[in-house]
Amino acid sequence: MLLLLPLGGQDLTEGQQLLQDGRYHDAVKYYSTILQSYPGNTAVLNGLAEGQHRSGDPMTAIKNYKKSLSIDPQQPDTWISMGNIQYYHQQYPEGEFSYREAVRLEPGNPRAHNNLASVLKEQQKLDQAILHFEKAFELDPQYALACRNLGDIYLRQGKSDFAVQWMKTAVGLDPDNMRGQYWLGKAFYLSGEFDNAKDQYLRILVGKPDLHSVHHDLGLAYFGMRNYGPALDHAKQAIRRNHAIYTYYLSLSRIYASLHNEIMAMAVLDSALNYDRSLAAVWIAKGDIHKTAERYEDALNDYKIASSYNLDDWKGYYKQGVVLYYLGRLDSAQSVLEAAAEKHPHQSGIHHFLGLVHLGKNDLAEAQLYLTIASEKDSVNGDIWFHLGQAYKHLKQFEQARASLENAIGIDSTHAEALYALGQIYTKLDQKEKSQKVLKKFRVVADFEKAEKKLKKQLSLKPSDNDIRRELALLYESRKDFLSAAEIWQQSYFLGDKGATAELERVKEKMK
Amino acid sequence: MRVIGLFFLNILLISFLFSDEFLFKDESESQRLIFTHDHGGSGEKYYVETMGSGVCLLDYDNDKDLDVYFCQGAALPGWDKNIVLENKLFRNDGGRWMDVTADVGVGDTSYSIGCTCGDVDNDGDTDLYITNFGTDIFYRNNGDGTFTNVTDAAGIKNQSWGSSAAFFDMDNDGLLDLYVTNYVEYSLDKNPWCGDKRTNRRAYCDPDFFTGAEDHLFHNLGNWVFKDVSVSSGIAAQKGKGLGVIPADFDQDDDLDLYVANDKVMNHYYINDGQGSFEENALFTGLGFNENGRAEAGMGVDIGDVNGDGWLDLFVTNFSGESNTIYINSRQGFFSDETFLAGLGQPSLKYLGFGTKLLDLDYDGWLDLFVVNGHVIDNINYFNKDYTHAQRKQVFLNNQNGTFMELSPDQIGDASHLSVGRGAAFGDLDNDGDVDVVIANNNSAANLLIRTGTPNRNWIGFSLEGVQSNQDAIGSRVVIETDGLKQIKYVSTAGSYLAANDKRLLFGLNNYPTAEKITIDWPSGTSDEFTDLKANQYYQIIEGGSISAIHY
Repeated sequence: MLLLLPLGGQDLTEGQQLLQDGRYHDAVKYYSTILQSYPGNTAVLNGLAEGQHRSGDPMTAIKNYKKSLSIDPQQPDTWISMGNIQYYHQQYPEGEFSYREAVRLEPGNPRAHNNLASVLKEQQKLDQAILHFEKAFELDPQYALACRNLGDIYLRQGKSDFAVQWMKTAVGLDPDNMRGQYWLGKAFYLSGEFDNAKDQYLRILVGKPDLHSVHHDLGLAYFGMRNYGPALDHAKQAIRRNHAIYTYYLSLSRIYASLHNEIMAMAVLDSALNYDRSLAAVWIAKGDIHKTAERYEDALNDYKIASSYNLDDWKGYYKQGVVLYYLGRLDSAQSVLEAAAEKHPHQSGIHHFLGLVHLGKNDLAEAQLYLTIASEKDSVNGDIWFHLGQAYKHLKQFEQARASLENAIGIDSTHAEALYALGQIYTKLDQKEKSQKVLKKFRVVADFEKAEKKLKKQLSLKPSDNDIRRELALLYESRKDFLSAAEIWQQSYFLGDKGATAELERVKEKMK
Repeated sequence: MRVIGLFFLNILLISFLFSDEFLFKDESESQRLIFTHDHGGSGEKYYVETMGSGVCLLDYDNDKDLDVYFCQGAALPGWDKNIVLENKLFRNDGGRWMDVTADVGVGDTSYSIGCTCGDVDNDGDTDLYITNFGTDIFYRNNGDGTFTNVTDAAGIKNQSWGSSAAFFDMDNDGLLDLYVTNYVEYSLDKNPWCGDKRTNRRAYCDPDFFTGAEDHLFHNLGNWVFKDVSVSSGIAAQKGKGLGVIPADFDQDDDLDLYVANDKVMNHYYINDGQGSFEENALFTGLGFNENGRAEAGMGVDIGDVNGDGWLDLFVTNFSGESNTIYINSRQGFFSDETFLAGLGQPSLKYLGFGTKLLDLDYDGWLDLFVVNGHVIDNINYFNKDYTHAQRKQVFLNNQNGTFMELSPDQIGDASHLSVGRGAAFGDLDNDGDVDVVIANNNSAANLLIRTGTPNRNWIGFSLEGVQSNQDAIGSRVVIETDGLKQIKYVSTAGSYLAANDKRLLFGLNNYPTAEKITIDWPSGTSDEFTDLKANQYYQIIEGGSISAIHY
């Protein structure tokens, strides 16, 4: 809001009108002229600054705002205006300062709090951002934008329940705001409420059927519900409407991969690469499919290409290292993993696989060091604890091995390898009964995993074979893994097994 | 002084690196041991094509040198060569080999996989058992240079896909019994298409596609009558995908237990109660899986005391991408996979191991290791650039500290040549006191690797003959003690892959001119002891204490 200071009897209405009409260059001329006569007039300076900002000269605008504020620092709106320019040009510390001044001068200004919170959010100062967004809402309970912003922060923090709560409030306050509806859908999706997310997105599409991002997210919501038909349909529609967004291809590929349709999953990624071969993330997704199918040479090739297009990204190097490890080329694996570590020293997976490489090379001290670091960075990863246990075992530190392996089992009670290794350690420690108990459990788990792997392999060769799916579903049921069984029955239904509906209902009953 | 010491150390190291004591020469052409395995395939990738074949060493004519028996494939649908495929017996004529198959009557034309041999009727000559894809064949040695097919008469009926087999006396009654491993249930008319569908590259299938088949245990009742005791013994309760087998007294309770290497399912360890019953206990004794709890491929096997503690350890060859596995006997009833600690892990990852032997190559009294390799997928390089179909053999020296060191290709001569190795039989073919190797290569010519290098150390060899015990003395334990070093070996022809080895025992004596004390524990329960036997000599020992030097 501009202050209209009387200038020797002339007001600035004309200038303001020019700004409102969008005639920013004219507005700049107007204010520049007046400024010559009234160089110390803050209203003129503010008007000029706004005109300059709107006409694409933000830096000069900031200069004039600063001039205005040097004359009269008690202008909360001016601080906000300057802060807005700084925010949009990613000068976040400067923007924070400006907004803080606005809040200091006008603590009851909800917009000031909202904007301050926004710039704090961009600097990942999320807790402080939450405080100011909440303050903005407290000051103005109709402030839908503040609610949406709060919901977004909770989304970033993974607190999906809170995100849903705030997004719902925002939508309640501003039901016509499509962005709010969309973000509510996202919040539902991230909190696992796929059905609600689906409803949200469908609601949006009624009014705006061409929104590609909504089609994409709706596809993911259906996928979350394992409703494969509409999932595929909407994921494809997203691509049809905008073929330039690579994440859409990744999502569609993922849906096909979950149906064990590797050929289609790969074809989708290849079509993304037809548009742009430098999409590193797509090469990585291809590599992941190859790796899952144990086609490690192909996976290695894909990851190498990904790295060549994105030299600074640790992921490509890390994944190369993993595949090289599986290929038994330990020296090469070590080399690329070290390159990945340079780019991202805090990634637990890199340390984990460096530990494995050293374990394979019998460099036990190095192995133990890397695996310990990995366990510190990711203390809930059962595999890391298992491998650390193996390192201790090789070092003949059996008590430490026992502790690490017990950690692994504590995280994942069906970790077959850890169960076996722990059984061996108990035997070494002369705890025969414990050993036998653990080894018996291992056998059950290992037999299941072998049967599961065999069926999945068969499925990868014949993705439409519902007899194999049936066997797999029953295998999961035998292990009381009804969630996995339900997913397989849903796949069967999608692929034409009408009897799968009844089986699905039966399994859902068991899940209750 | 330190500089001089280092200097001599370097000289020793350099001399070791350039030493020719481990050289082997392939004399198959020069000595006319010409055998080419034909897997009978025509591009359909029948699973049976890629697993064979085997080879046995036996002195069929009792002329004091080992002869060689090769297993041959047979025509599969679509095979159209104009040749006869039959198993072959070659007589050793001292540096020359003669195909005597037709005269002797052992030219089985079934699809043969492996073989084993032993004196089944204790009449002083070696009989022969052939495992087939189809009905196995049992040949009785008539003692006159010929054999008779006594399969039906003997009551032996194994119609599954037989692989390795072993003769051993399971109840110490003086008669050799027979264990036959069977691989998978497979028929030619149900041969799945496996490989990369995207590029239409066909490959041999993975064993996961097939169900395992039961092994068989045949009890020798005497007079060429065998009884199938698979069920009553407890063997039939387990169904694996057997490829390798070795009997040995793992728990030192004076009866022979059994270890069966299974392909990608848990290996089996059958503990003999001495009364004809076997209890499978691989899981709780650490012998079923590798240290990560993974079932590995499991093909060739051998046993030996690799760490000199007097207890038998076990070595198994596995697939590429897996390491071979060495299980160290803890002496408390369980075993530990110490492959990577032993330095045997990483060197074996690129290779696919089959026939194998633990043997003292440098005569220092410690067991070294010989591994024959060759991939099963002939177009493997497409799937993994590091792997090849034909692969070299590997030789590892025991460092005497729980670790092994691989010899470089230069050091092992023709053993470094590439081949698609399968069955490997180990024995002293030229009776010169060192172990030679005959290798049956898949769909290609066999190798005759004669050890030309000689370690500059002493050795001693034994050929045992049972009287109360089975005449082959299979299962006898021989212990040699010299200057505090104790070596233990068992008489057996079993081990490796699809093969039968020389049953004589060779011990390295380092630089000692005599073996101070030799103890023989016979399967009958009796023992004989000898002292101060002169080195560099074979001895014939007959149960009851009779000993004489053998002059070949």
